[in-house]
Amino acid sequence: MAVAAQHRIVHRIPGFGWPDGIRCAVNVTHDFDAQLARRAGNEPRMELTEGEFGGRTGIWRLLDVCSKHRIGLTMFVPGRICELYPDALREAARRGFEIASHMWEHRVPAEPELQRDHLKRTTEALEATTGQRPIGQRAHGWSFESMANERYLYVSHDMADDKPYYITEQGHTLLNLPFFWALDDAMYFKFGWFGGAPPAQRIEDPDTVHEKWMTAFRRIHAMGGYMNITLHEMHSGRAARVAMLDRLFAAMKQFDGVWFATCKDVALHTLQAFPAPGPRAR
Amino acid sequence: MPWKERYTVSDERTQEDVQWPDSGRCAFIVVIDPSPPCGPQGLGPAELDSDQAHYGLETALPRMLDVLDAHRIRATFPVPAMLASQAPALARELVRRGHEVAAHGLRREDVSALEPHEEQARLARTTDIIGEVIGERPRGWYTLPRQTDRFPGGALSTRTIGLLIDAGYDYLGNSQADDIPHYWVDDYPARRAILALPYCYHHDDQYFIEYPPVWHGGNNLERVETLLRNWRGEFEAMRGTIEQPGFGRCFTMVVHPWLNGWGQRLDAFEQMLALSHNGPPVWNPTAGECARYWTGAYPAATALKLAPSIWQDHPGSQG
Repeated sequence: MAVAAQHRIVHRIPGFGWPDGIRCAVNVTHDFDAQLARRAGNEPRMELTEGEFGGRTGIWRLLDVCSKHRIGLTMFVPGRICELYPDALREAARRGFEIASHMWEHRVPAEPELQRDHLKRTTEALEATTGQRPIGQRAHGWSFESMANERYLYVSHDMADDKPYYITEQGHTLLNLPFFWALDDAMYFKFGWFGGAPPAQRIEDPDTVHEKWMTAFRRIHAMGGYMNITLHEMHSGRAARVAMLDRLFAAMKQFDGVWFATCKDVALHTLQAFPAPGPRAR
Repeated sequence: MPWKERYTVSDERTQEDVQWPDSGRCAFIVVIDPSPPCGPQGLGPAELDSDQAHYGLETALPRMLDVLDAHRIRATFPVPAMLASQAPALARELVRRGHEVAAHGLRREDVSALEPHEEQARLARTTDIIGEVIGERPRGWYTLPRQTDRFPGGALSTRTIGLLIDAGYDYLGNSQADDIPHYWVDDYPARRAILALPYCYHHDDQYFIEYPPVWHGGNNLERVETLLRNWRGEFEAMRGTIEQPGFGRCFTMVVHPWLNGWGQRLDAFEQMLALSHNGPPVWNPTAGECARYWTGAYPAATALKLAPSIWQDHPGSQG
């Protein structure tokens, strides 16, 4: 079934399923924003230090906790990170984690020419730094044409379904690995999330988030579904939250048939087993 | 653009395997911010005579000092100069009981838009006033977030760090860039830096505890259980257990007497102090002692590892 909304076509995948022996898939994803989102928003200098914690300290802990549990981490990385924290990126690639792209400096330029330029520069910088050419992208509002030109195969930002599905825009079709706000750590751990005023703050403790995410996971596992968790090194790299992720991953591993895959693994499975309708971005 | 100015304040990678004095598994710093709530102008006559000022300084603070004594925990008090000159006996009492008094601006005002000479003059005046009250110059400088601030990190101007170095301060009390002390670089070519101590708003009581919006932008919340779980979670993750070492970093909690003098809140505060001496040992310095230890054990000359910049200016990018 396809639902057209303006210029976008959503193609759900009827009968979607996982490889043999797999009951559900978990993508642990990481948006390596460090201070770039704060800088793009022209936030004051003290706020940049919140992001700097992520780049100099938090990122190494996320790499370690994912390595410890053999989680296929996917890192959505702004191109500028190649100039800010190249060692962390190289180490992530060395450990076999997936490097995907997440804008140039955490903003989506309105000008089509500049947007193409940012995507090209990001893709090239990530490949030059890590040896991996990204095939996935996370940033809502990016032109499908420019992504197709840079040979991207999937995006991970829209949420029209909670399993992988295809989106066609501008005549190009990409796979979407859906993202969900309630599985994003920033919703629980970020003051002023999306401009929230002080009376709207609900900063959570790690135990509460553990409970919510385990409850979500149990249902997803029972349904044979898909779980896309989004972490930020500046938030989830804090000691108590890494300790929480350690417990969370250990608890999830007790369940049968859980595939802790990279987004690329899930994308390649889907593209092969459930090919895109019509012409695909290639 | 030189180095990574306007993006980065310190080196690329944190210090691993930190060792603390007294066999401490982690450092435990208690910061008590005695100011009543205020806006960006800081403490004026109205704020200094508010119910929160009276309650916080005259009812809650003495009670919290007794709790600190009972658990033999030492704290650091960032005090605005105007508060020190209004309550000099209290400031001296803090020092007498083994705590540290640090500077918190002339009146805890937002300095980010001040003229350079004005900021410098206020900083010098603050140092003089506090020094006169407590009998020695303050070693540390804080710029904690005010209740009405849009951002939870605290505000400084582009010149504040340089002025603090010029004025001979040993440390900046609150930076979010790490969970251990780290060097905040003011001048990259000259390697001119000041030590910054860690702050994290997830361990600051004011983001979890109710105060009505009619009073200085309060948040309508009473989530002391969430606050306590956050404190405990971070503290225990850093200290570890007898069998399992933790991250071994520096846990800093920030509390405000006007919010914490009674009931379930004082109880949460006391539970944390009790936790610190039940379990593997932790080191409980004042902020100034922590700074002195750090600059001796991890001096900037060897510990600050500034990579050569690979930063490039690209057309169509932010500088």
